Amino acid sequence: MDIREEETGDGERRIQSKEDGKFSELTLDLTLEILLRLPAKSAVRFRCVSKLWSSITTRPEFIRSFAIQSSKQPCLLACVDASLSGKRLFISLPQHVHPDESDYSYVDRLEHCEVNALVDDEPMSESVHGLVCFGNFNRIVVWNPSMRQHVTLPELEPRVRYIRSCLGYDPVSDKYKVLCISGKRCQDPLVFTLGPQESWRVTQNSPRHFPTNTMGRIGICINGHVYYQATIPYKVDNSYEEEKLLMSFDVRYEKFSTIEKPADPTLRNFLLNYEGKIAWGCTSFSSIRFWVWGEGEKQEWSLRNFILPFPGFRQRDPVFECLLELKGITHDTGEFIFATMHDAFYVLYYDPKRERAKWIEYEGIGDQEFWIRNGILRGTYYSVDWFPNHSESLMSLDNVPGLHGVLGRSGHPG
Amino acid sequence: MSKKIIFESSEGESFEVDEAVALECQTIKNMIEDDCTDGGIPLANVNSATLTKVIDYCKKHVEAAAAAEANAGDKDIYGANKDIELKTWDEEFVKVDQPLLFDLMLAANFLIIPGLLDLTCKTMMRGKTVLQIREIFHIKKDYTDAEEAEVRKENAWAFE
Repeated sequence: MDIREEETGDGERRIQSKEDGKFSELTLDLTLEILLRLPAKSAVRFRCVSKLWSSITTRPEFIRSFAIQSSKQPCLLACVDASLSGKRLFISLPQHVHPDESDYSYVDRLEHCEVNALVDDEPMSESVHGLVCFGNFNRIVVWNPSMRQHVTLPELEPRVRYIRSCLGYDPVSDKYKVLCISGKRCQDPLVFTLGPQESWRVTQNSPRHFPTNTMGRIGICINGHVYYQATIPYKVDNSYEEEKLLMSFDVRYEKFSTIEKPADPTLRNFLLNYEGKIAWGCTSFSSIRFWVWGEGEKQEWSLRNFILPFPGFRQRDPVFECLLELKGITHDTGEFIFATMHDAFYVLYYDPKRERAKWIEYEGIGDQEFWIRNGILRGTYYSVDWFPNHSESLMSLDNVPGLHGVLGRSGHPG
Repeated sequence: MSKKIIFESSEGESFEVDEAVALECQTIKNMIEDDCTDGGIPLANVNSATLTKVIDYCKKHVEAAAAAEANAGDKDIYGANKDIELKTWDEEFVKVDQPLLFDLMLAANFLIIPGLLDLTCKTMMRGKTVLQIREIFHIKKDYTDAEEAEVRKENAWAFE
């Protein structure tokens, strides 16, 4: 084959072939467009194509654009905790799209973690810009499912008792930070930026507070701010009283602020991202009810109540005969996500504005055969954590200080 | 009657389309806004075969958007996904040979048709090996065997 390469004036590389008598050119601009649209696994695999492709896909600007592109097609990440079998399975299900219609069969991207890491850990945050944070009282593990990488962050200095941590992302500086607060003792929170040569830093001027455990997760990150419920102790005469409120942590400037809780006795430990605003969930049986902070740029809470055409929170659905529980709201279309696992994975999307529901059953995921095939012992305890609005990130955790590991192998469930 | 826009392919053939269809192309949209479409729009790097397909794509998507809007009022809880039909149509649309697919991708990039660029890029790359990619895009392997083996080793999980 007669191949000629030439550098065009603007630095773009033009590759011409005379084999078929026509020029086919792949400009740098188009190469970028193609690479941005690949699933993370393919983007990594194609680093082998050429040095150019490798250098493109490892550049920070590309990684940033890739995450933005990927967030346009978010997925629902299900994490199955099968501690007794020493495993965690990560299964990404395309959000909205039925597997048969999906551009890429994301469902076959199943990752296994078979090492001890993550096994005793609880999810600490939602999926934040492609990363998830796990941990227990003693350690914090950051996991990038798309890159099969995880890092256990260095031990905290000064030591923090009963670690509560959450992950934040600042879109302006393109930086991830882990916030760590003691659940027991009054001490200043610590922050760790995910990057080379970083270490734990003590934040300044934070109010004394204790984070509340919200459904196993502490915080939720929205547009450069991490929100979490907390209690602030204050002295009344000779004893201490507590005030419950919402803490807001500015990821970029590392500043804390407090937001008074809405005056509502039905508030529960459940935070949501509703159309880019922080929302505080309430207990309600026939509807989804929550308070939204800062709508219309007003610094106040406003109530939203959506009556469901089917039984809601922790109710047995008469049509599908399984438990439905709200797991989150899709960022792009504002649909409520209900998910459950009961012989199969069931996901219900409910669009409250159009009053339309979409019910998806992922056959072959979650049945008896599935567990056997994935080496999960019959009858061993498992629970599922759901991470809605998960996107893929090519962010490498290799240069983040800590204990590293590339976990998992991929398998095909069906 | 809606306004018409005339495209001229690289072979000099003229294609008359509704303005709404032409607006699917961001590049053309800008030209229409700048009022410089009189006397037709010459597309020197898009041949007739490709242009015919591109127009088909834009027409279909304009019609589908109009239909979706018309049906927006019907409320069927647990209803079927209306997008399925368009998705199926898209899938059929890109069942073409590799050179035409490549030309469609170039045209979508040049005319800035995000949906078509997405569709063609993904179709082009789906299920391809590293070797096939080099072959399709005429990319010369610039790694030595040892270097390539090293990159493969580093990213072994992506090849499983």
